[in-house]
Amino acid sequence: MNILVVDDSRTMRDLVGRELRNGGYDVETAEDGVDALEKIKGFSPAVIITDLNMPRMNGLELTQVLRAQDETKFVPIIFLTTESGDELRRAAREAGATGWIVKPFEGPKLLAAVRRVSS
Amino acid sequence: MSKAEFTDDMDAIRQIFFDECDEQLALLEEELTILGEEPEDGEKINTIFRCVHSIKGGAAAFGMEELVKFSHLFESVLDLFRSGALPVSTESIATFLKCKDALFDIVAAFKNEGAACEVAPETVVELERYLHSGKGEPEPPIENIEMDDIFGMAFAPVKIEIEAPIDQQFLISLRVTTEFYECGDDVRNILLALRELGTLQVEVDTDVVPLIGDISPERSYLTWKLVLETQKSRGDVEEIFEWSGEDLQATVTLVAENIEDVPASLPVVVEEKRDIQIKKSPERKDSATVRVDIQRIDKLVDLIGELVINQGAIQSQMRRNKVHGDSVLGNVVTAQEQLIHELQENVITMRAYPIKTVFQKLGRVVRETARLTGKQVRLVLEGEDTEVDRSILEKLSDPLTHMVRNAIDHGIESPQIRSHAGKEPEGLLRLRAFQRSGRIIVEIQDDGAGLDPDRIYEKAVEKKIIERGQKLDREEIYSLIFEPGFSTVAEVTDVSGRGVGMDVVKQSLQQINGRIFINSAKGKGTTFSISLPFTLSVIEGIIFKAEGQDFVIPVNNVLETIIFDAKKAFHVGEGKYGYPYRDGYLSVIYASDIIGTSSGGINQKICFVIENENEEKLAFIVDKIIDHSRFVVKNLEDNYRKIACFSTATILGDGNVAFILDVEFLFGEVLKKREGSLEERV
Repeated sequence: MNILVVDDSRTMRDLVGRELRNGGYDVETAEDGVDALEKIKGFSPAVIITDLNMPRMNGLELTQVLRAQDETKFVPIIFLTTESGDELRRAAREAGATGWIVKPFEGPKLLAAVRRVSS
Repeated sequence: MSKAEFTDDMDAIRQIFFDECDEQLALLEEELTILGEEPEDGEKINTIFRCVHSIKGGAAAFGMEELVKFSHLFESVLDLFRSGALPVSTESIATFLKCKDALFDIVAAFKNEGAACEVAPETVVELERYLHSGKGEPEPPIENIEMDDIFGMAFAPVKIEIEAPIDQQFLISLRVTTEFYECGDDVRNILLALRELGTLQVEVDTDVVPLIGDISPERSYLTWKLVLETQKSRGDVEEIFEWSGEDLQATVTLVAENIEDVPASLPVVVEEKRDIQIKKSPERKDSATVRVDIQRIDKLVDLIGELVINQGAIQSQMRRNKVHGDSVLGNVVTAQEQLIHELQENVITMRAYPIKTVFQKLGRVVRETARLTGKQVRLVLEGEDTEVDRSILEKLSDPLTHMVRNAIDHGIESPQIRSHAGKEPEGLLRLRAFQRSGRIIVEIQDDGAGLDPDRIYEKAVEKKIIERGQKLDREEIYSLIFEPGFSTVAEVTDVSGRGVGMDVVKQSLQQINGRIFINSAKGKGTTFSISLPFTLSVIEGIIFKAEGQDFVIPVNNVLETIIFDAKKAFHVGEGKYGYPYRDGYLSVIYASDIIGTSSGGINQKICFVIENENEEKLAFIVDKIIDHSRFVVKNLEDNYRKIACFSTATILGDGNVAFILDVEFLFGEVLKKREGSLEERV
């Protein structure tokens, strides 16, 4: 199963990617929303994990774009972010986020979250 | 995977983290040195924020506590500048540079494996001072912020089970909204996650699913009833629903604590709700309600429509048989007409919904848009209980959504600009609904920058909507924003863009006989007022005859009725005629032209001066006026097919069908075709 990880920090991309690959998933990474939209073409992720604050296009904007496109309308999107405020969660939900995990993440929790949205 | 690979792998990522820290710190320094040149640039301060945030995220993953603590403090202060709560000054830039150096030292310390590093206490004090002045309240000292607080993870005390875990049985009722699916989730995901906790029985309640023709693709009808046997706690069960927030209604009830005790049949449970949804069907305060299937009311509206037609038939028979209106029979029939009229009005109100259902959705749009545009908006709703016919309400949601987005995106200024202009940083958006002379008025009012007539004029010239030099009054200039092509892709923002312009808003409002008015004062704000009919099922109209057939024209489009004097009509051009009216002249449209059969218009004696939403007028020439009455509208598209010029029809007292004239079509298609611009439009 394909998973796209979107984060502007290479450290985070590597850490998350490593966890998911160990969990048996195929992982592609993107640096921000704009890059993600490019990478999605041809990769067709089953789940997208994204950071919130990124340059060029942030996680909220990315989610809105994805929800507006037919191909990605129903793809589960998990926010992985250090921001834990209720307001941001609400905003993410309104934009169309399926779920969220607060950084720093624990491997098993991340994998459980992916399972939760992709059964 | 072996342990050795594991550490290698992590070490490599740790090295990447340090490399990235160096990159981020270099970027931070670069941005900070040029921040002084453009302190107002929001994107600069956001980039700076992101550098620090990124370092914090990585540091947390590697458990570098000192680094997390300091970057968190720095980030909190930067957030105040980012949100505009504090202005960037040379003094604050100096502090930021000090913090950047401190970050550099801490990172270096971790790189060198645990070399001790202390942040200069005066830097911390400086940062805390900003926190105080920005938030207006003392911030807890940094020493007291635990790691857990920073990540928003609270570790609840763990209760150690000594006894063997007990099997419990929960009865769970699940209901989801459409938004649940729109967020990429599925009930199946929930069911499978629950199944991981124990054994699950699933039952779907399909009682509220309507007949296939009435199913709305936008709604979710099913309710799931689940019985879960698990050793896990209620908290574990409820955690699965947590993400879905208000989009999922779940009622979790503990039915049995020890499985063996389960009674043969499940007890009736008084549901303890984790209910968050308020979306109930409209309620009237202080009075009992009965839920009735909407179809039954629609049927009732139809039947009353038939009754009105029958009433018309009786009256036309009376006229034919010369029964005087003052006779006993005449009085009874008139009284009956009045009763039917009241009955009709009452039944139509039964089908009305409070506008609240639309307004509530807009709350969400407002929050989302405000967030995306970085504006602060306070939403005030008034007259939420104003009732509107369902047919109108359904078509109101999209245009209102667009207008609200527009008001925030283009109307309300950013907090900084507002503060400069001496306004509250928080913009006000007021949505108001009320009834006025039989119509529903919905107002969207913002206290933003207001429309700038000069800019609109310039833009309209640029887009070739008008020609330079054309004289327009303020209202005419405002209405240019409704012209197709006024807002184009080039300047579409990701908020109010999406290829929909105000022209589409206007068109969709016209479909429900809505009119839109603009009131604006530069610097003070803009008010859009939408005037809507209460219902689309009944119109007041005039029956006229043309070419031997009966037609109906909606009375609110008729400004005046005058006797047509064919001699005064003058030829303007190919098939074009003018007719003098007051100080000017009107374009003439002969009813025979649009009906198709032409008798040359010799019988045409009556001129309707008709007016559309834009206060454009034209002369519409017909044979004669028959009557003035209320008509039950039948949709032609549903019952027959779409015919240009006539979108709807009605049945007259004599049983004949009369088409209802689509006035906008006359102005749009017919006039434009005359001007030879139809080809361009197609």
